[in-house]
Amino acid sequence: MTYAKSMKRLEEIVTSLEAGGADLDATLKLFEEGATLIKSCKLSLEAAEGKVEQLRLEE
Amino acid sequence: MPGAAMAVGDFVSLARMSLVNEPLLANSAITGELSKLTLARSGHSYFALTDSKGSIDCVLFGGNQSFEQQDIKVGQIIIALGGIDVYVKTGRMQFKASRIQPVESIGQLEKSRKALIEKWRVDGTMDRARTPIPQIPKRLVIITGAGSAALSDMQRLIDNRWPNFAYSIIPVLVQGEQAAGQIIAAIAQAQSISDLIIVGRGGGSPEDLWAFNLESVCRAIIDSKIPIVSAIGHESDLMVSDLIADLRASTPSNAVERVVPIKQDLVDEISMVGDRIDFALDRFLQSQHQQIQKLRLQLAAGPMRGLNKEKLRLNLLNTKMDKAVDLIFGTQKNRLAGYSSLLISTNPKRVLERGYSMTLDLKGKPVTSIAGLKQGDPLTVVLKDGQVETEVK
Repeated sequence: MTYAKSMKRLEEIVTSLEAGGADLDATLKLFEEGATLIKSCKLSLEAAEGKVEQLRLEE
Repeated sequence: MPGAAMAVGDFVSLARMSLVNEPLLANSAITGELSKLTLARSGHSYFALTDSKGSIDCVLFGGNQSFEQQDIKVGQIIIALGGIDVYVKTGRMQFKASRIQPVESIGQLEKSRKALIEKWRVDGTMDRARTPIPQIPKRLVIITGAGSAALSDMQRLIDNRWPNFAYSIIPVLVQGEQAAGQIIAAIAQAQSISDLIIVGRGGGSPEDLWAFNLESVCRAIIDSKIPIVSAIGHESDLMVSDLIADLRASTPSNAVERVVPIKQDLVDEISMVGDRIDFALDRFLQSQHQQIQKLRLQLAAGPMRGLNKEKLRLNLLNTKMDKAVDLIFGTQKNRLAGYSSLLISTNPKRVLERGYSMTLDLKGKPVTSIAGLKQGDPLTVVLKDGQVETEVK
């Protein structure tokens, strides 16, 4: 999944959790999915940061 | 006083020198009636010119052909071009002619010149499209008299304007009967070796310049694929060739001034243009450098700003999610706690502890009313610490 899509899904998850309608099982499932997405998005950002740093050094 | 006497030969020679060196006498045109004409076997012509006021013996070396071709007869008025001379052996003064021409023919020539101009005006030849003159001729050919003053003037001027300028010269006779043929041949010869032709000659009498009024010569100029500058005579002389050439110069020197640039001027101009190009290029490069520098800074800041924004967004989502989940779990917990305290408070055992008792029927159901009870029905009374079997009395 791309970074943008991951972020979009994450927004959806947070919105639906904030609405508070879901039952416990569903909440747990959404939370798990959200946590995974946060981790992968963080990795993407770190990778992008590393790439930028490297390009700066090469200049 | 014999010592003071001068030898007659010396005297005549002296007289001759002073006459010959007098410019007015040495180079002039005289007119008079032709008489005493002798065409000698040597080819030389001897004759006299006479008018009401005077007479002079004349000679035209190799002149027989000229008399025959122009059909000049004794009694005609003619013009002789030439100068004074003295035959020292006899002390006889004579006019040494270089050319003769019947007087009538000048009028005829003028007439044919006008007719030619008129003809070309009517048929559009005068208005023909001129071949452009190259800005810097690379193979200039000058057609003019060999060793003429016009040629040396042009050479000197070219050398002044552009030292070592490359050009070539085709020498021709510019007056006399052979002039036309030689000029036409020279123009033909120049076609393959030139990019510009100057046809020139210095000033002279109308007869001297006449070749440049001839249809054949002018036709050669018109037909030339290479542009031709006509540079004939002085400023006031206007030849047919001037009218039909690609460019008219007033004199041979003027022709050079108009077609050979001053080299130093061009060098100066080029270096000025070069400076301007350098300057413009410098400015351009400088502005590009600045542009790149600016973009580089923007680029350097750009991704980090974007990444930081994304980080914040992600953190925010993370926090929000944690909060929402905590909230959900908290709500569930509270509900659970509520249920459990409710459960605890409604536990019947807690009521029994306060001194109440509970009555059950045979089936173990609580009896909450006396309605439906009969004498002798067995009941079980439940108390805090046990139960008692009893019956309705």
